[in-house]
Amino acid sequence: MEKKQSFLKKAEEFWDINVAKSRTGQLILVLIGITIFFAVMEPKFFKVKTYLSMILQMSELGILAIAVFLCILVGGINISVMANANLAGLFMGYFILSNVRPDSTPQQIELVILGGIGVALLVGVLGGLLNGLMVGYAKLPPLLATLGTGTLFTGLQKGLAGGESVSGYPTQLEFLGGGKILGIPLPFIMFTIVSILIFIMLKFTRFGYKIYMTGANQTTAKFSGIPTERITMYTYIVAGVLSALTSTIVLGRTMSSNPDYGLATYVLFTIFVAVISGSRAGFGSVANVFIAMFALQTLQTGFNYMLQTVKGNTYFRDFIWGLLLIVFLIINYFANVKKIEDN
Amino acid sequence: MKKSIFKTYEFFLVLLLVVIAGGIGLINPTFFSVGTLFDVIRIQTIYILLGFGLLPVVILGGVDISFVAIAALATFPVHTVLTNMGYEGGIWLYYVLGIIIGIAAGLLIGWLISTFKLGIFDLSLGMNTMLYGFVLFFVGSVVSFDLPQGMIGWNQKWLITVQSTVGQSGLHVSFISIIVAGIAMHIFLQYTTLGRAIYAMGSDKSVAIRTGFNIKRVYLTVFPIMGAMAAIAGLTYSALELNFRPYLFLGKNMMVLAAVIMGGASIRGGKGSVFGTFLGVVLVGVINQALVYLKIPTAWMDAFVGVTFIAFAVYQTLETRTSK
Amino acid sequence: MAEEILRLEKINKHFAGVVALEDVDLTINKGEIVCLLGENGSGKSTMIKIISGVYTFDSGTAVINGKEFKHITPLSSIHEGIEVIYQDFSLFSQLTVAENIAISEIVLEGDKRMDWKKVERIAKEKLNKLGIDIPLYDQVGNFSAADRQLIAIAKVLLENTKLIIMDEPTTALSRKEIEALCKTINDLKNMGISILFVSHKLNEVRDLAERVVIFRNGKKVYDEKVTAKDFNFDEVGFLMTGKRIDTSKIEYCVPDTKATPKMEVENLNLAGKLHDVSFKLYQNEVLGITGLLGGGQSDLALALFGATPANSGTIRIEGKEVKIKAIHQGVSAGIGYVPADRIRVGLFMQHPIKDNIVPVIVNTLVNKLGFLVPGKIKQVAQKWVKELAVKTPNVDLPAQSLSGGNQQRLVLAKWMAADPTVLIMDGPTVGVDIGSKAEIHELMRHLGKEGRGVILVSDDIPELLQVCNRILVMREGKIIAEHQSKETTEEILYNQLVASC
Repeated sequence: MEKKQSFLKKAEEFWDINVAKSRTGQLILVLIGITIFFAVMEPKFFKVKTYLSMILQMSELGILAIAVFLCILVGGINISVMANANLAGLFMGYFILSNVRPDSTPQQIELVILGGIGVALLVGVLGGLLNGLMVGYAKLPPLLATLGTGTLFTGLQKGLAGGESVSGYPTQLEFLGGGKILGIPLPFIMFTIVSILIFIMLKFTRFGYKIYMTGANQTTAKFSGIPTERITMYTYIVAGVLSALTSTIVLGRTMSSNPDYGLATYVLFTIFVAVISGSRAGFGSVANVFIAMFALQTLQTGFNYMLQTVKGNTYFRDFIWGLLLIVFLIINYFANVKKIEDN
Repeated sequence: MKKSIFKTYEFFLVLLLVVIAGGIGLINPTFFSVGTLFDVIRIQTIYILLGFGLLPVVILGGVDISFVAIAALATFPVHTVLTNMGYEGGIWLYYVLGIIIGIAAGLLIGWLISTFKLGIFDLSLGMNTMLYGFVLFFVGSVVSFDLPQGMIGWNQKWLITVQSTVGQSGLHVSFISIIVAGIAMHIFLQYTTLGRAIYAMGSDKSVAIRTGFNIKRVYLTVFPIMGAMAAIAGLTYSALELNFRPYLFLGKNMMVLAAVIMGGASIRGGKGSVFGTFLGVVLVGVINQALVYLKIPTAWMDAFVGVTFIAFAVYQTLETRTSK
Repeated sequence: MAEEILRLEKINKHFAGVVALEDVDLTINKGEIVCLLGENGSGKSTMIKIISGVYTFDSGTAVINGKEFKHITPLSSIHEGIEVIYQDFSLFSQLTVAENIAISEIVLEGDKRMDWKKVERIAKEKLNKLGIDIPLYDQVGNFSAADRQLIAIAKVLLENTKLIIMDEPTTALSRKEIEALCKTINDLKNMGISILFVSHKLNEVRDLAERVVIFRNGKKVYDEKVTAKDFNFDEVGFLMTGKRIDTSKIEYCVPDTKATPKMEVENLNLAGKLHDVSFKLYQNEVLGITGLLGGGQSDLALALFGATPANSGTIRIEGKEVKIKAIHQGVSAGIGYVPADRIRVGLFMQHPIKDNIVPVIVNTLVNKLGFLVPGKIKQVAQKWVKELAVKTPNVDLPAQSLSGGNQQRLVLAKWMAADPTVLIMDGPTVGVDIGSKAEIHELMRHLGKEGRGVILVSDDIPELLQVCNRILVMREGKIIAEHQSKETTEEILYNQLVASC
């Protein structure tokens, strides 16, 4: 009898600490809930093939979501990441196209692709640097700064490419977009590695600590000897690097450079992830972002399955996403803001 | 002593426009003409109207990107329904229904923000996607070229026309709506306490609450205005371009926002004027025309807008920092 | 018999078991200038909030303009002619002077239309009443604190204004500006308006007040007419704190003037703020620096720390010259800075205590591979929490879970962990309860005796006398006097800081 009671008590404690009070626990619960919902509604959903395609799709936005998450963490926001990625992809494409000849050997092509990745990273860093200087040093409001740079990046791409999509890349490039290592799609491996690296950076380095503190209270951080301008700038540069990584996946998958790629939807998505993962200035964890991504991607894939037969289902999806974000914002009010108000 | 006209930001913008136009005019003389100005205004009319609607929100200190979706919501569904009913009457019904929808959307937004303390930008993100998705899925995704009888020929009604070496330019009848909307907005912002409340809230929200302003009423006024202007702009577009599109103005929100801010509305709120917004949008249009006259591909338009916007934003931020 | 504007009798107020006001009587007559003096926690803020209707009183009677009020509401208070000017002046920085002055009247009257002629008329009228000349159409945000205060006063001069309550009106003003404020307050008195101003700075009220009311621990302990001539700082200070300071009985640090000074400052200049400031901080010393606002003492602290660096001059730490043009240079030079506003500038309130202890030293907490070990942070935090007796069950709790006094200890712990050569503290006991205040004083004395250089910037004269062995007085960016604490008194120091009307 006693054993049963102490077990119940332990279970209650476990629930209290790990779910009721932990965002991570809540998110895992949400993920499980969504999965079960779709497994019931659409039995076809629960296949290895589905999951493989899902984690592939998740990876692009996932890396971008982490980039946005980092900028939110340091006290700002970044809505130029997709544009930065697209621009990086454009230059990578140019580099590859101009260095691959009809007689190039496969090894040479692979080297060129690697070089192209380097070019993309450079563009990503430069874009991040611009953001970092404006937000970190010139102290522009991050939303407006990145709104401006986003427009600039897209504009540069449109101008350089003459408004057309560039294509005609060597097939080796496809590996970046969907090649598999040990059966797992390369993009997902990249996403996982990025998540782990960022996790380590945030939890086990001085830089990570300083990011949290700069976001928590910039003045206090400054008055405690933390170089807040520099930390902010570096954070945006890291976001730029992550944008560049995303561009390699996008280029590999679409085999073209489209200046409008993803612009319409990704901002909503990455902000959505940030909201439900509970990320805000000075607070948040990569784990929560990862699980939130997973949950939202499951939701999206599930909807796709359910609505497969419905015409124009991408629009219905947009409608639901917009609605869901609004609903979650309201839930967020009741969960967080109201408590402070009532005090 | 009231501040001298020559010290105002608007005067600076007028000067800037003259300088740019003059500069381009040195390279291509036909640029510096009334005809160009009329062209710019005609092309930018819809953005001027959208800008007027967005202005109060920016003065309030917020950024809203959903006004474009509201424009689509207020035009395309109305058109679809009326066409299915076989409507052949004048355009007035479109305006009535469209404006009602715009106001309703704005009321919803204002209510959500004031009741649940939502961030203006975050909510607009959701609204934008949701409304476009709604229109495209539940109403239709195909552009319609069926115009009601009452609308046909309207796009050829000119107030003034001007002949030039490049062709004919003119000031279209729709310019009247700019004048009317502009004057109405100006009166509202400058000569009503509710309008001043917007500036007050944008300047120092907590003080505004203490002063006794009705915060909720401000939210429930600003966003319906934004919605109504979006509806008017949308209908003007449809009548001028002779089509109704479900994805009307998609992606144009940034340009309008950039223009409003270049027109002097402060990023942080508490500042902005109707004339300034007008000049800001015209400025963007002049840049666009300049690109055409200088034979620079218009694909570079966004890049120029981006650079100009960043320059203005940096300047505004540095200016407020040094004056403190 | 003078006309009574406000008569409060036997007012009681408590918050969750803590008594804020106990059986307090307060009467204000027409045209009186009353100063309400009291330390933090004395109940003076509560009293103001009750008069303006923000709080309701538990028991007692309130009579305003001859009418009895069972509950005072903000609206009824305003209708009876009671206006409050808060420390932030309640002004719109982006709007013009004229609009700011006229706006509340227009809102109160319920105008829908904005009549600019009316705005100009109201603004001109009110500014004339006060005899001040300020351009009507400039942005309020561009004016100095003193000018903004005048605008705030003009704003509350409504037709029926009978009593203006000013909350710490001299906080943002320099000496000259305080003197200008005196004139304005007297003008208001001549208009028949009563002024109740709340302060904790004796030296600034001496010439302003006609009647002084002193609160201590929620009770009224003094209520008399005063004149500047026979205003006795020692007595007033005693009434406010309940303690007398006998400097001959305090064990001060004994500075070692023969050894190399901990810090030597020569000809420090900062445009508009510091003029040729030079001083030495000896070994084994707690040096106090004080002055009125604008005297330069806080600017000096910030310049030494590197937050607002000096334009010219030399700073030597333990004999070696250092360049301090930014905070990180100040920190590397061995300077620590405990700010006055610990919530906004000193702590990461929502973050764990352990994260608040390590920001200055975080670069040293990495292992051989350059990684930060979270366990190390906790370990270091626990050590310093214990050293400085920060009362908390564990270091994972957020900083905001601590009481005010313990929060201040936490800020001190942060700097102690960095082992600074010189520790500068600006107003460290503001808003701290009396018990913690005494403990922090003891800690400061201990630090000085331990051989660490300590500089205390404060406007709390009793505090300076209890902790520092030497006190410098600054005025308008210059050091004008130096006192050995053993040889001086509250009276002497207050007299040096007085702003006269």
